[in-house]
Amino acid sequence: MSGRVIPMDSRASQPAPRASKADALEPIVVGVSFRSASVAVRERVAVAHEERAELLRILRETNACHEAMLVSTCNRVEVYGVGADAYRAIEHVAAVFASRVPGEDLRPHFYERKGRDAIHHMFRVASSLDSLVVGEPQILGQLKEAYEAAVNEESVNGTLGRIMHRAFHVAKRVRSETALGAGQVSVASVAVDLAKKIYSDLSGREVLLLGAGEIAESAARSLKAAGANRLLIANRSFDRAENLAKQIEGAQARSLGELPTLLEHADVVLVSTGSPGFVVTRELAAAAMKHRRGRPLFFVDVAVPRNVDPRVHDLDNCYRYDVDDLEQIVSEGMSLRKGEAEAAERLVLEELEAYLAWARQAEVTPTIVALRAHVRGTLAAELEKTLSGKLKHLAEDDRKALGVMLDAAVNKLLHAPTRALKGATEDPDGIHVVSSVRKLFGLPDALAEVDQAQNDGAPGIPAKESRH
Amino acid sequence: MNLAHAADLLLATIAVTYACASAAYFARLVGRSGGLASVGKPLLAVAASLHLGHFFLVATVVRACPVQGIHEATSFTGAAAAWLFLGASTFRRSSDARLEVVGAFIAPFALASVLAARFIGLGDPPAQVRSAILPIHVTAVLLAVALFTVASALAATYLLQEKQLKKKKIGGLLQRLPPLDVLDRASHRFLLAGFPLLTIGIVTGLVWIGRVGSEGSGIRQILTYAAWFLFAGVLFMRSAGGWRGRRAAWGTLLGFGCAVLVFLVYLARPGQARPQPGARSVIEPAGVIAPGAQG
Repeated sequence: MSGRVIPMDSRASQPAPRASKADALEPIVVGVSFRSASVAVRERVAVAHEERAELLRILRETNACHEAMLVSTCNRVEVYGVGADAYRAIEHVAAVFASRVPGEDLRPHFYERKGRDAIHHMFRVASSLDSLVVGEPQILGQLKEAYEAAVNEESVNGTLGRIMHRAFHVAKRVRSETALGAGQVSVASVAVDLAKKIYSDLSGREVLLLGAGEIAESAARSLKAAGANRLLIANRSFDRAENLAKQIEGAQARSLGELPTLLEHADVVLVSTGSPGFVVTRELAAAAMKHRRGRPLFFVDVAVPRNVDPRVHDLDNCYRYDVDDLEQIVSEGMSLRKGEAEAAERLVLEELEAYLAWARQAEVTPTIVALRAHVRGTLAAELEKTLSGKLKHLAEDDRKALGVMLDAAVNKLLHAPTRALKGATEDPDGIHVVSSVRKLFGLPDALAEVDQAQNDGAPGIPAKESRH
Repeated sequence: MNLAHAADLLLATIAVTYACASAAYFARLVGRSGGLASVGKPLLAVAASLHLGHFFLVATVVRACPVQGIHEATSFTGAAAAWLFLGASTFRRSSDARLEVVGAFIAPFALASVLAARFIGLGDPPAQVRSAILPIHVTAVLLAVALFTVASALAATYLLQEKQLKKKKIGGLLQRLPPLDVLDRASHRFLLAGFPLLTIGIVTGLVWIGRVGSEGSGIRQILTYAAWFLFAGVLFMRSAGGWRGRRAAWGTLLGFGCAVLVFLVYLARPGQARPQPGARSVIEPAGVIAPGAQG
């Protein structure tokens, strides 16, 4: 996707160390997803929760990226940012990713977007149109969580914050106005479906949840809802397992140390730990199978990096599916929801255009206000100077008449520029008119004063943010 | 129209109906819906009813034991398997509705049994010895093989479904086939029901051979024992060694293959000149079987 670049803010060309009102900031996206890279690649660039703060700091270390947020899920690892120079920002983010996987060129797996395309991408991701399972609801929660983490690290403010809020708003519209999410195939429901191909009846089955990943947890809840009556939760931290077990009726916490025994009894194992290596090796699974007397064992590995050795799938009566395997199931359900997805895409495009128009408007209105203030202020100051000097003798009526004349002259003089500026909100390239006017009249100072009022009226920002 | 022609016409009708049922079940298996795909069960029921009617006619009109000769026995096995399957798929639990597709294996088998009985090999030599053991032997073996047929059809379906899951082919076939555990359990139950009958059949066969003083056909006996040992092995390993799923399914299919070979060897064995079509059904009720012909 290559697209026209629309600077979101073109007040000045000088980049500053941190985002200031004068920066011309352009949004960018750099990342890998299930579309561009296999899970084997994704797991190498995936960012653990603990690493996130540090990585956000590194991303904003230079002045290439003024704002940045990091989304790392099992299906995508992406950086959303804004920078004065989009190309520089993209290069910087790509270099940071490259430094995480030394000695290997992962660049071909990465995609880059800037300007309009970057915003479009963020909207589509939030609306679950770019998901492995289109319409699945988890991604919005993951995005909000990533956004909040970035806010906590103070690595998001103004521009990126506005885009993300708008993205959340778009996602909400897509969910309420299309049936994309209705009767939805989620990773969780796909796991339940597959389990039902192995076990006709899930009642009496035992589900083992390893780790505390969100998708695995929701799959565990779905399996429980489908009849599985035993749910065991094991985690590296027993406390965390116990906390989760308390939230789910009938769930029990176990220590990860018991894993060999747990595998002997479980029927479905959902794995989503943050471990960098295999939690369930082939040997471990083979040993468990010996004690299971042929009872099948179904692994759903939604962890990135993967936690279950793929060779486990080769064992008799053992089935192992990872996130990439779910893609086929998605394509199966895709045709049914194609119409809904198209409607959602249209809605996203409509919102994108509305946002861009707003963004232009956000540039135009303060420019008009600042231009008028600048011209009128200059003339009024000069008039005031003359009235208190050479024309000191003028009567009050004459002074008023001069004031009226000045207003009329300002109106007439600024009529054409104001019209041109207003026309710029309709024109995708209108932003150039705005920046020209700003440059010609030297407006940044005047803009700073009206900027605050503008930000308060940004669309898509709820008065109080709703947490997902 | 003489009796022979009438019998042939009836058999032809049965064969055509089985063929239509096979096509219908196959259409269902490959994902068609409505039309042909929805009439597999009624067609199989009609074919199996006609098939049963055929035996009834043989028994009442011709006044012959319908399963005494190997050709009738082969044909009867097909009918019995069809009836067993129809019964199983009618009195199933609602969650196993997809078991219907197993008919894609049963209906062709029934068709093959009719065709094999009609076209393979020569007629039965005249029986020479009267015995009460013979009907027990034949009935036990035939019912056992019919049960193994259903068990094998389920095992084959299991292997098909297991392949989908192992190859991660998440397509329509996976959705249409029953869950693995249903197939595995059902196959095991049919095998478990058939095994004692086969054992009875073999024991009575040995008694019969002892009585008529024959050692019987070597290859046939070897295949019979092979089938028995394979089934015994599958059942034993399942309960003792936890053999389930793929291995049990392959074991069941291999055992069934041996049983089918026994029938084929038997059908094609050298014997006396084959009687006229239709007249085959006419077996001397008090006939005496030649030594070595049965067993």
